[in-house]
Amino acid sequence: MLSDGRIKELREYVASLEHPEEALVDLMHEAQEAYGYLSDEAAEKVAEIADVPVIKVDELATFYNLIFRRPVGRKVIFVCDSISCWVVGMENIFDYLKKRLGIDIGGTTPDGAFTLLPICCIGACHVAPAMMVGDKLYGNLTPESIDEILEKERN
Amino acid sequence: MTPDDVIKTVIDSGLRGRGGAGFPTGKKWSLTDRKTPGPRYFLVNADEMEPGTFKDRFLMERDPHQVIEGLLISGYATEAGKGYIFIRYEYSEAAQALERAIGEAKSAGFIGKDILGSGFSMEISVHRSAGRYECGEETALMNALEGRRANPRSKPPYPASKGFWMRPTTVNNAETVANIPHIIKMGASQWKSLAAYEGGAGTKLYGVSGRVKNPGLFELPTGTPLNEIIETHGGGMRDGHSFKACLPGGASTPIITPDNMDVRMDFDTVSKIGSRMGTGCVTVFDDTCCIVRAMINNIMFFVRESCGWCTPCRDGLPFVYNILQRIEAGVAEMDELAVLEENCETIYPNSFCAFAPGAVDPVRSMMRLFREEVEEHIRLRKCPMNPRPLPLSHERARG
Amino acid sequence: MPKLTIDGLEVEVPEGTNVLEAAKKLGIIIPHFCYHEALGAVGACRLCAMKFVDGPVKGVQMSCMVKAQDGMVVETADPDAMRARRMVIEWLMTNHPHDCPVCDEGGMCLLQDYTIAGGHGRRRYKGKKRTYLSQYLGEFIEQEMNRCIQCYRCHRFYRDYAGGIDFGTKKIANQTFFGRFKEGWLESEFAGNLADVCPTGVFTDKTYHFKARQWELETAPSVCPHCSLGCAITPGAKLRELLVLKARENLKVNGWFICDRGRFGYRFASSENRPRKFTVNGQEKSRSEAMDAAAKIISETVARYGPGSVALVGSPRTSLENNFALGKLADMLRTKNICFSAEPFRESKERRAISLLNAANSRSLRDVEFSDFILVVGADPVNEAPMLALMLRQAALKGARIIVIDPRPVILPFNFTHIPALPDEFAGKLAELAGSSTVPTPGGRAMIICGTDVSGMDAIDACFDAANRLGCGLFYILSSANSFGAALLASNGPDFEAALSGMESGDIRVLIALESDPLGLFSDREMAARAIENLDSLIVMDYLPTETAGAASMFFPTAAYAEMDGVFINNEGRAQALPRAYIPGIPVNRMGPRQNPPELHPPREFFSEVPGRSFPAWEYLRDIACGMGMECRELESLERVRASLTDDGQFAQIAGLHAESEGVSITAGPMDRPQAQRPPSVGGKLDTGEGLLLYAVELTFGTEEISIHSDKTQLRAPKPYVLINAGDAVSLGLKDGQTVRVSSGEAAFSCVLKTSASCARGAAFAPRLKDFRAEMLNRKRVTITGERG
Repeated sequence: MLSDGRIKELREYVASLEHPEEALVDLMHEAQEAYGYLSDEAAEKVAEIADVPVIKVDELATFYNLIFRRPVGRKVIFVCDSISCWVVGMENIFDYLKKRLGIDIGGTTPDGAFTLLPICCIGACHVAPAMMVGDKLYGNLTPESIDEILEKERN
Repeated sequence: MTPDDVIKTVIDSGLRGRGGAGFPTGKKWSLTDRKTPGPRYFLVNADEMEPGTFKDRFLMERDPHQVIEGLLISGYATEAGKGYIFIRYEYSEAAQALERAIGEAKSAGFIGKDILGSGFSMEISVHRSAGRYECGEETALMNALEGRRANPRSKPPYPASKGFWMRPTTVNNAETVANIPHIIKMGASQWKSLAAYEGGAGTKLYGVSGRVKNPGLFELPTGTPLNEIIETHGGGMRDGHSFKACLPGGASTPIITPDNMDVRMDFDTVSKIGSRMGTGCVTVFDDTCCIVRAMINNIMFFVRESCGWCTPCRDGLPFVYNILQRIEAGVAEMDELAVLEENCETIYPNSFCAFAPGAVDPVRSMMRLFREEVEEHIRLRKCPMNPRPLPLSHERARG
Repeated sequence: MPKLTIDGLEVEVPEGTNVLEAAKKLGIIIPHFCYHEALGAVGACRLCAMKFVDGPVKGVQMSCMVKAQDGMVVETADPDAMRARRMVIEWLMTNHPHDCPVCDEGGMCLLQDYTIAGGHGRRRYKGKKRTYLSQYLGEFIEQEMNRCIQCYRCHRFYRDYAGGIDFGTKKIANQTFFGRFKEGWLESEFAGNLADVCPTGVFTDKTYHFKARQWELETAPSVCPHCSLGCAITPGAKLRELLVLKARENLKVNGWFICDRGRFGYRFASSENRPRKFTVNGQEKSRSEAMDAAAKIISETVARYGPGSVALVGSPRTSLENNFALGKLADMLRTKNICFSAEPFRESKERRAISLLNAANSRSLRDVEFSDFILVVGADPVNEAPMLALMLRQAALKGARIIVIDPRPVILPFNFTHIPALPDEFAGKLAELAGSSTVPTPGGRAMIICGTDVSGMDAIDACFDAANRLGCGLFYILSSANSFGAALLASNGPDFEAALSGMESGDIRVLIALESDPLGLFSDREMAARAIENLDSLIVMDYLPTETAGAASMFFPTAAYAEMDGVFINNEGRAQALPRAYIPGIPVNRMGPRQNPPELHPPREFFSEVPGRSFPAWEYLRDIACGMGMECRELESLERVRASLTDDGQFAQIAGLHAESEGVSITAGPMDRPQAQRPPSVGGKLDTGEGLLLYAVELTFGTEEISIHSDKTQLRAPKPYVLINAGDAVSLGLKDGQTVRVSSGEAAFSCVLKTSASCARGAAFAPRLKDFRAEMLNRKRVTITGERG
């Protein structure tokens, strides 16, 4: 939830902009952070702060792949599935993660810790195969290192 | 130096855009409408999302000041009072580095009003996007920055006259901009002479990834031969693997096979052999890679990232993807190859922006260079290399 | 004017025309989806490929994106271009379901046509089709997203053209979705146009669902009856049931689109409540018996009390011919008691307004779009003449400055300046504005638009004067589709209030009401009821189940607008012909024995005549005249009626008027100034006491005379309310949403209170909803008090 104080700040910030629409992506990121995902309520808040129709927020939110309109786990595991990671065995990494987490791509672990999603090239080809957990980058993945990462990130 | 002097210097330096298309930077600047009274904008495209490419990340994480200094000079040359660095959200470390550097530059008086008493003023801000490949197309990038869906715009009007908020706008890649301070400091001819050959210009960030001993990013003279990049700098193939082919500069560049390994990595030379240098970040395929499966992975990226604006891209690419999957799964018939080719050849020239041509270009090169391997799939009714079954899904789960 | 060659044929087109349009001019139609004349070219579908073989542009190009230039040589049948078009269709068809047999669009689907035209026949794509979950969008529009080909027309119409803010584009790639944030009614008053702009069956008219195929429909070019603008429409009927309306193009009036009241208001025509029987004193009669009975009572009355004992009231919603025939009957009866509206107060202003329009100052609805400065006085466009709001938006998008002077909280789909003034202040505000620098360069492209509902007579005159002084255009909004025609016939004649006093005094014994509803429309219902009770006979001819029809001693069912030939004259004086689309009668699907539900089985009864058939009212008027033994050759046929109509110089241009034309202009010429402005109250005395001045107002849905008899449009009618300024509410100690009692000396009603910050202070507004007699308190001082809800 965004606090009333923060909403006020954001409103003032938006009002100070020559083109308030420029703030929409930032606002969505912030609301997503606050709500866990961009729920209907969060989207409506963003629309209210930016003073735009809520459909505009929805149009943008569903355009981008890092804005979630459905609930996700506390951390999202983004596994790079683009060509440089594929070359060095991304498919196996995905298989291993699915097995370890007991979920399919797009799923969330029952404890709500992780959601598993593919992501296009994250610019870590020199340490492929790579993934991000939240905004943290991990490269040179192996089954062993994945175990360690999951252990660390779960807490 | 006047803005015109700077533009002249950049034109003389021979610098070409490092986003992948290679448009001469100085020429682009000279097209910017500087007559209409302000505001004008300079946008740095740091939405690096071309698969296999990791040069802008390095640059911004390790030396953000180079980009900011470049942006300031670029803004001065194009008389833009406001600069944006458009960076993908995943690059949080780079975004932090840039923000930090902007703060430092500000307190040193390099950003803001009347910079160092020059009369030139410029503000810079970092825009963290939310993830879409299409945002890298310059007109889509402007839409994204304006808080719209990042569909490309039709041209004309061109950004140089009516771009961001319908004002004169110049867009350059982060690496392009980072070259500017060096060009100004060294002078056009000296910078130009850094290239590996007569007629080349400056240095370039080249990357190597795949099953090589030393994957990484290297600043090398422009025009360094491909085999030197892979063998000397990338360390050659890992033990037990041999080189099969490579994508020279990202997922939208046509495949290069061993017979062209000595090609000089610059825009014109790579084009001559039917490929494109693109971003200069090479993805190496080793002998364990099925080329069909590689192309499936490649095209899946484009299917998923298509902005959905035009038909060839939105609905044509899934058709290509489906036929490739059928080939890999061993259920395709030989006559489907003609359908595949017809799809690629019709998508290529008829889409709205350069996204779809880039998507099918590697597939077209596969049909040229690896037809035998493709047909073998169909004859054997399975993939000759990869026993792992491929689910015949319409598309992958999306984020 | 660039000249180019397409398929070997030379064509010259206006500067700025795209090559796709240029080819169309030669009769070469190249398939296209995203391009739409009104919505422009965006190059999304990539279907209209042509090969440019010579000239300034080369290669295969999307012809909608290329402006015609001199020296272009274009081939449409080039193999590369044809392959591109075939492949685009094939791509679109990879996901399009083969559900044409159960799709309402089937038979009028652009995708069907262009799939054939594009040469795609055999499916080569072996993958699965993409599917969506569609949204519930209300009772007007049905969505089936699986059929979508992503041409973006819906978005471009709804958001860009119409300014709607509750619909858009979601997701990306081949998951791109068009819809709302959450399910629910589309809010725009123009949402129905989605059914027309969608090239396939994603958005279809829900009221027409599973009713008929295009080729089964009886259609004719027609004109909308639901306001005074006269938008072009095409009604479609099957087996005596009016089933659907589509927008028709009239580039002088509505352009390409219509509003939802116009599109979905048609359902009165086949409503179960529609009166279809000839009745005399409550008894069902045959047509001839009914006519004889009417002729008899009129003859007897005239014989006993003289010709002045018969009064006739026509209507602004019936055709010019019907009203004209009524006038002829009055002439034959030698009675002077004829008028053409049951709303004398409104009519007096309309008569004045049309007398002020002339060839030089009158502007068409479409002219609004090309105006650069527009002053709107005493009008609430979305509610009084919805398409005007859409045209104003187009002007605003082109940069026009728009100022609205109106006491209501006027909402329009664009930015404008609202001056919330009371009607008494209109003339003053207008003079102030006209004299200020706000109107920088008055002239040909500026316009003054004036409403005739809340405005007083002085505002109507003031708008004319201002337009004259500034040399700009003038546009009055009238009440009904043929208000102009009715006012023209009324000319300097008496009005309905005169008839009412005659009825009350007993001088008038018989009233013939032609598609007119005094009980429902006259402001003082008690007075009207007393007067009608006093009559010996009330003869009503109508196609609507009005209150007056319910009180009739004789009732004759008439044909509605698409069921007869006729002419309407719209608010600017444009006469337009409406030919008959179908023969009215009880719809076949409502016939048959009760035990055999008609929707499951066709009727097994056979009739030599159309059951429940209604006829144009002029026929009844003729029959009555003939039945009275009068010389009635002038009314013998519609041709005769029209001939004697056009003998009158004013209507001469109507002769030979073609239904698919843009219409012809009629001007009223100077009339005597109607009697001084007066309120509709009894005794003609304006209330001047304390309290708020109440105005009865129109809404898009729920107040218009015809569409209130249509079930679907009534779904969008609000519950009764009274609206006042939020500041006034505070001083009265009232809150938005609470139940209040609104009363004046004579009448009172209860309803919900709404407040607004943007309406004028000192005023209250109540919509003229069905069964909510806001009109009773129109222009009266009212007190509003809280009531326990």
